[in-house]
Amino acid sequence: MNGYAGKILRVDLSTGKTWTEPVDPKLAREYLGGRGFAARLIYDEVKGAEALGPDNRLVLASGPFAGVFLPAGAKATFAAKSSATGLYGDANVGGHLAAELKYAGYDAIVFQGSADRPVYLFVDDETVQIRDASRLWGKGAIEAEVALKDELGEDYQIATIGPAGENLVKYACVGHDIGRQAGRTGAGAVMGSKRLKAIAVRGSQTVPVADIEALRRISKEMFLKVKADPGLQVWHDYGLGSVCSWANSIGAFPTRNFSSGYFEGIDGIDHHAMRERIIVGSKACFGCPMACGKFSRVKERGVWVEGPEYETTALIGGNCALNRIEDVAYANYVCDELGLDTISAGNVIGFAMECFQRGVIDERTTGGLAVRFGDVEAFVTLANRIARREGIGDLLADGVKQTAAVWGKGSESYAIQVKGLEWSGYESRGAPAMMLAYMTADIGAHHNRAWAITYDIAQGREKVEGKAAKVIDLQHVRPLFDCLGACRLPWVEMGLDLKYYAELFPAVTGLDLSWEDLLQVSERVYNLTRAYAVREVPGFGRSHDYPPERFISEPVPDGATAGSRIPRDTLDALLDDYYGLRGWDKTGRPTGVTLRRLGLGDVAEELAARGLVE
Amino acid sequence: MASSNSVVVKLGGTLAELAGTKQLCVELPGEPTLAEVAALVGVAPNLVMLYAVNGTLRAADYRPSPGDEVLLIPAVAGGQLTGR
Ligand code: SF4
Repeated sequence: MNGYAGKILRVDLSTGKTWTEPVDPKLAREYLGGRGFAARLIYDEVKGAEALGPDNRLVLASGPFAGVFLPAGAKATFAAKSSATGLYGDANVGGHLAAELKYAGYDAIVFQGSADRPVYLFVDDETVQIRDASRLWGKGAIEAEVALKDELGEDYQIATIGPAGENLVKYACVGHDIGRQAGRTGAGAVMGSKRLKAIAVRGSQTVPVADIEALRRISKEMFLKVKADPGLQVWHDYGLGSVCSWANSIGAFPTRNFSSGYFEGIDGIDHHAMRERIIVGSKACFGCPMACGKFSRVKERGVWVEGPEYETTALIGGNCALNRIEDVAYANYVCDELGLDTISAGNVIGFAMECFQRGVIDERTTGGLAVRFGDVEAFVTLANRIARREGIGDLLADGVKQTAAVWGKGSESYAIQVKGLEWSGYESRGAPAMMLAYMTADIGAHHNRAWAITYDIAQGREKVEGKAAKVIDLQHVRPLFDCLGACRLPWVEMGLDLKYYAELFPAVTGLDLSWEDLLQVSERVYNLTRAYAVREVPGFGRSHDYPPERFISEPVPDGATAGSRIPRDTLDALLDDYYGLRGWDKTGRPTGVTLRRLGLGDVAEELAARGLVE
Repeated sequence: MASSNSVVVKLGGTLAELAGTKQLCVELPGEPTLAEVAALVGVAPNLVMLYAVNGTLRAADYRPSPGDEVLLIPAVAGGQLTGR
């Protein structure tokens, strides 16, 4: 199979058995790989299971572009039934893991069961072993990765969890490549529940492609385009930190638990501060000319960290009001070692800070700790307590929604999440399309499905018409990259034309799927993950798509979007439009007709038998 | 043809789509700021993430000189500004 290694590696951690299965050509054609493979697999195999129980699956999947020399076949997807939301969850990670997995001869690894002691999976081409990891348990995610590299060799690509994953923090992440993470939806907790500390992969094989000459020609053109772009230097010099001051200027920078979109301390944490005070070098993922990863040194703390990139600076910096880039970078390092998703951690700790300052909680709740905005030591102490589930950290480890439900006193209205996933880095009261993107992202409040703020600005920030259609378009294009195993940033940030990817697909795979066909795959996956939510979460539907009350009733106090909020009737209009265009019913459930149109007849039948679709 | 009071404006990604060109020569009316130069070429300043003048990043209120090369770097480059 061109573009594919052709095998899926299965690992049962309860029995210690491993085996391989061939990739079904039908699966490849209908779901492509990565997120697509994972969504179908989880839909089929994880029915009613607990996210942190042995019956959940953890899927590590590459896609047909992964490991192929193009800009940039670098992305691996970690997916599972999410510990954070109970829905399908995934997160992608760059670095070199996806490519190495293909070179080892596997398109995906699927873990099931749970080991009776800490283990790691060792893969060296056909040699697959479940090895003891007792000595690594308790170590930080990066510390464990370095220890395994020391033991096995630098040419192994390694993914690890930190104490947060071991202790089943619901938003624990998976680390890789000394500072990159599959951050969202708690794949690290699922790994921890299986007592799987790490995955180490090395491969020596090649990925067959259908038309090497065409691949060479198209890729070369793409690389040259990126290289010739005068904007490339920005990504080399500053990386994604360059987005901070712009986001602040348009009122989208999350500040003090999303009470505002404008942070007065931006100059202390923006790209200039990064470049002048902490950046020491750049890092690129496999085959990427952008090298958007920045490697930084926080001299006063004696630590090195990859980042901080935009989301981390937004959620740890603005959202917790830390106004020194050294503090943000240090907190980033602490989260990376602990194995905490910096987005959820910054969101949850920002929420705790607001609750403390409002008097919802006091020092009796926090174990004597003053938890105030702007206090990096409070941040670091809370992060450690969360990762170890100590004291207040035990509740915060369950996420902002569960914490607000316990603390009450109206705090639910400023627990900034959708479907139980903490909101990522864009305050969206002045951006209806972006708000809708967060509301309808299939994994919860994350921006990677659709990022629509510039569309809001270009089309009119107040305007609602046409926004749902654009959000749907983006929700098909952006996650398609996660099915292909490619990074979307060369398209998103450098403007590489999508036609290149359309031409690459047949060159790599030999499959006669047009760009429209590929987008339909993405639409199929989107409907499948929605159907999964309908099946797994009782009463799932429209009520799960609303943002927190703060965004509905509290106008933004300052900055470029001062006075903005999005009233409930506007949200309803957006949702009506969105559901209608998607072919979902008024409650937000895919109809049988829509599922069948997308080749999901079996899903339609199953949901109909359960009385869940028309 | 560049006049003595003009700057060259280069546009990245979808800003070029908005302006209808990747590069153009703009006659400066007085001493505009970079944000005003963006508006002159049909780009809303809040869609510009960063400005560079002769290869050096500058703030939106910086005033370029005649003969300068101004680069407008978009907040997002790939196909996200226009509708279906
Ligand atoms: S753009 Fe950044 S995240 Fe994407 S592949 Fe390149 S270095 Fe990795």
